[in-house]
Amino acid sequence: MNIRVFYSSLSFKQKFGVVLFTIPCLFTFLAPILVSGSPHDQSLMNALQAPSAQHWFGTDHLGRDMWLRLSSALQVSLGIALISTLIATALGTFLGVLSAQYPKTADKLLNLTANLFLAVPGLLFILLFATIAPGQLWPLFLGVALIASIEMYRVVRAQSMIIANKDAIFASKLLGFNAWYLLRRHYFPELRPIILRLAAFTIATTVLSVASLGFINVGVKPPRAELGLMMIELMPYYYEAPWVILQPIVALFILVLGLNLMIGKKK
Amino acid sequence: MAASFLLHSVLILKSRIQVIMKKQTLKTLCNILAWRSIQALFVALFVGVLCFFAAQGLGGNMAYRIAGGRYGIDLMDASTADLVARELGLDRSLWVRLIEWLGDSITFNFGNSLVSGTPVIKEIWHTLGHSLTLASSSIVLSIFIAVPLGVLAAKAPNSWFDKLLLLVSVSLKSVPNFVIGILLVMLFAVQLKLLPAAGHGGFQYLILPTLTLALGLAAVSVQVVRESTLTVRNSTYFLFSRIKGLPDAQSFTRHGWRNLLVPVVAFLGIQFITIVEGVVIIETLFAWPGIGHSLVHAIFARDVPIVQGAAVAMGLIFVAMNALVDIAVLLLDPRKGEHS
Amino acid sequence: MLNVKNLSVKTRDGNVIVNPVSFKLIAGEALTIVGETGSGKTLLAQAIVNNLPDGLIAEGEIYLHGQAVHSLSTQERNALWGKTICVLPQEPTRSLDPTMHAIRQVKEGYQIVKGLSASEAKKQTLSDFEAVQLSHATNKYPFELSGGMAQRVAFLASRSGGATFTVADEPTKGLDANKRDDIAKQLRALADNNEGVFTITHDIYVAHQLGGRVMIMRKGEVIETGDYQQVLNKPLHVYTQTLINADPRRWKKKASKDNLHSPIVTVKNVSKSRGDKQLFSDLSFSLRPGQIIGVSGDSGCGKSTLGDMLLGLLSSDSGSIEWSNQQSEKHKVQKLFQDPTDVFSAHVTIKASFNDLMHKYSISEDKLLGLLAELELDAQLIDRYPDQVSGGELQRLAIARVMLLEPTFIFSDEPTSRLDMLTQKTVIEALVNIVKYKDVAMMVVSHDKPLLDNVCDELIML
Repeated sequence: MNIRVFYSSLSFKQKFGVVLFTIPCLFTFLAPILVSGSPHDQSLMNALQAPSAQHWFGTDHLGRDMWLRLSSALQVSLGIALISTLIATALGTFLGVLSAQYPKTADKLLNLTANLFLAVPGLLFILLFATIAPGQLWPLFLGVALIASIEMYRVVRAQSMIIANKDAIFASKLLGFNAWYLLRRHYFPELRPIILRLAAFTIATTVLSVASLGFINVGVKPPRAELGLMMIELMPYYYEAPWVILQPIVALFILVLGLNLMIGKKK
Repeated sequence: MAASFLLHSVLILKSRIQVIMKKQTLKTLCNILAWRSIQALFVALFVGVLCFFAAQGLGGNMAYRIAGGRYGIDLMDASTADLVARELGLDRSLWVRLIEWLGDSITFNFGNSLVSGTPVIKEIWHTLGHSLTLASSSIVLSIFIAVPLGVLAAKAPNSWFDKLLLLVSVSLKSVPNFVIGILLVMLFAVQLKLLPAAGHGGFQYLILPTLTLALGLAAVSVQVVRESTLTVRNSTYFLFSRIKGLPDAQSFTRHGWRNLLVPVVAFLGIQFITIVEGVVIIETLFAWPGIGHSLVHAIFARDVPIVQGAAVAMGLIFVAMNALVDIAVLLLDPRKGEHS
Repeated sequence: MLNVKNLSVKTRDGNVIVNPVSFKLIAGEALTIVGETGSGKTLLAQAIVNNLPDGLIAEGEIYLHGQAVHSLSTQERNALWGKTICVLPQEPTRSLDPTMHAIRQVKEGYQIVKGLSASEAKKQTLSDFEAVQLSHATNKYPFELSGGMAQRVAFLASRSGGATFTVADEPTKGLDANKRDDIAKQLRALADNNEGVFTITHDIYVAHQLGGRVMIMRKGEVIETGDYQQVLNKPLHVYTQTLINADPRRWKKKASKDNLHSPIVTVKNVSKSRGDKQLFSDLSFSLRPGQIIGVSGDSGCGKSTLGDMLLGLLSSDSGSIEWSNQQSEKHKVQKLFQDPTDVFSAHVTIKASFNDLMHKYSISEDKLLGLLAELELDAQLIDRYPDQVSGGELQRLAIARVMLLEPTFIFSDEPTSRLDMLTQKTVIEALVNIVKYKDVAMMVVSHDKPLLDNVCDELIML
């Protein structure tokens, strides 16, 4: 598909969203290249300094460079979000279409399982996993990927079932085309916009969830840099040095706002 | 507007009771209750399994702590811990212990807290009330914010008001709820010194946590209300009511409210996820002594019985709330009784 | 009653969509506007009622009961709805509030629009319901009513305001013959009761039934106007004549030759039920190559089900369907669908869809070009996307695609119900020609009995 055609079909709000989202992304990957050092280097003498030539974003309460810490935190958030969304999209789409194709067998099992898991709010999942292995990252990952997969599955399944009943499918089947053709010509083109929107939504939700978990100290432990964790660490110092706590807040806001704008409105 | 709304709610309720008596609707009702019971069972089992493995991770640690809880840390040693271990049957096979554990889970036999030694049920019960207060006041406040604003926005789509509302909603949706909380604390507690920043006591302690949760909820639901209202306003039956000769206000009172509320009530079910998750985070931020707060503390203390009790309690309430929403939708929309 | 002078409909930029038109309607008279899609007939009605879509404005003078309506404000004009102008809904089932009892939807008209007291309104509504045999349905919800019942309720509701000038936009769209006649009678009765009836339709037969005067419209222009007997039997304009000839009742019946082929499929004593409803039982017939068999009946009687059974998608409850020797090649049985827009993949050009098929079965491009020529389709059409092609052309493209496989049997499920009369004639002619020429057996489903009578060699009534 032509990227240029796709981009021009977006509304102004959506284009603005793309720009907003790209800024923190670029920052995440370019920042460590532009500045040397480690996000964990402490220097209590230099604590809570305003932005300067040596520390472009200032320092936190332990003297660590905020530029590097912010990019490290964004790497965690984006890393988890992008990987989980990728897994969820692949898994959810595959199972969703499968469910629609075999409504009497696969669907009964998959749909039941999905609906059972819906009985537990996602955060509880993650907290329970975290109880098994506190301080480790995998409960976070597993929980987030699981919830995202279930959501993607349900949406793809619902839409696929509508597609499965369209005359175009019957016509193609009568003409002798096989399942792969149906997927290629009918399902995927129809599903693509929905999947893209949901993927953007999933990335946004995941980033927010990771920050919330960091805030209650689950999954990520100091000295690791994570947006929510940074916020709670810096809260006591907001009066003396407001620019420090504002940074993770603003970074998170721009990232997620960009995604939300990209999603746009339903037609 | 409010008076006619209330009057209509009563009238609707009356006719809906008649609907309930129909056989088909009763059947749907049974289906709802049956399904939600299965979900509840799943919750108890799922939480149980995970907590079982969490407990295994503690292993001898757990026996040690139970012994400590029982006899006091200073008065015990390794041999006491061994005694406790054997007493609790921790030396039997994994499968037997799992089955027994799950049995306990379903019968709500959670034992005692590893930290305080008090029965889990008692601690949960104590904190549950506080969480329910917070949750219910948040939901009510969010409805009072979202419904009028959403309906007004739909009356003049794409007006400056509508666009402003969208901007505010999207912005609120782009930060985690605790950031909203932090900002509210900074404004009301620190700068204006109007409200307390955290804790529990009188009514004033409830305001900020409720407002925080409610704003997060309303940011999403206001758009749902708006969409639903627009759908109703553009529907063939609404336009027919106008062409019949009914003015806009009366068309909306008679045909608008009831129909727009159906998807909104259904959406409440999804919002419960946000509430349950929000309660955990917000209670931690505001030191509100609810079940979410207990849960988070228990995870850190590795107090598995409390974790299990709290998670099961929250899960079950979640399922129960969803069941109520299903029933409410059934009452509001007579069609639902026909095709379940 | 209604006096229209130089009424036109324009876009806000000034593009004229409906050219200035003038006419009068007196009490007791029925005026029917007949035209195809895009003739502007609906816009004319909307201009009079004052519910034009956004972006369009009306210019000219409109006098209703002597009052100059065109100079009133929007609010004042909308206040006429129900009291002075009655608009009959096009889709009655969707026009009723799904969560409100039927009786209340009529009662509120009497109470709020006409201004009766609550008890008076109730009395009047109950007597109305009784008059149309709906007394048992007063406390039912719209989804519990049949299509016909919903139509009667919507009719009563729209009349409750007491207006004597009625506008009906395509009141018989998609209805089968019986229901269509009922509606026409209903409207005629209003005119006989000294009210004014203004009807928009594409169905010439309805114009006949309504009587009064007829106005023919095409592309925003009034082509001809006059008394219905004169216009519909001895029209002055060529276009009107073409329109009249497009009515299946007027089609010339082709001489049928004896069919000497042996049957390709024999259906014996087949029955099928869906739920508790018995659709058909003990049905027997056979199909020969080049034979066209028609299936007619009211909606829901199982026409599509019968076709799906022949296509091998459903099985019968009892009886047998025997095919002679074609079993292995499944794709030799094909279907034409009611909505041609939904048949090609919307995301690729029509050419791509054709290429997929030709590639799969190694069909040469010449064959496609030949078929397109036979169906009188411009070969360049296939370079477009499905939504850029008209309904009639799309259906013929669907025929071409199906014919590429040289089928032995085609099931045509209401292939022209969504099309205008003129387009319908073109498509049916093309379809019948190609089927007879290539000796394909065909089963046609339609609710339009005259069409089936003309086209089919044999008819099954369900």
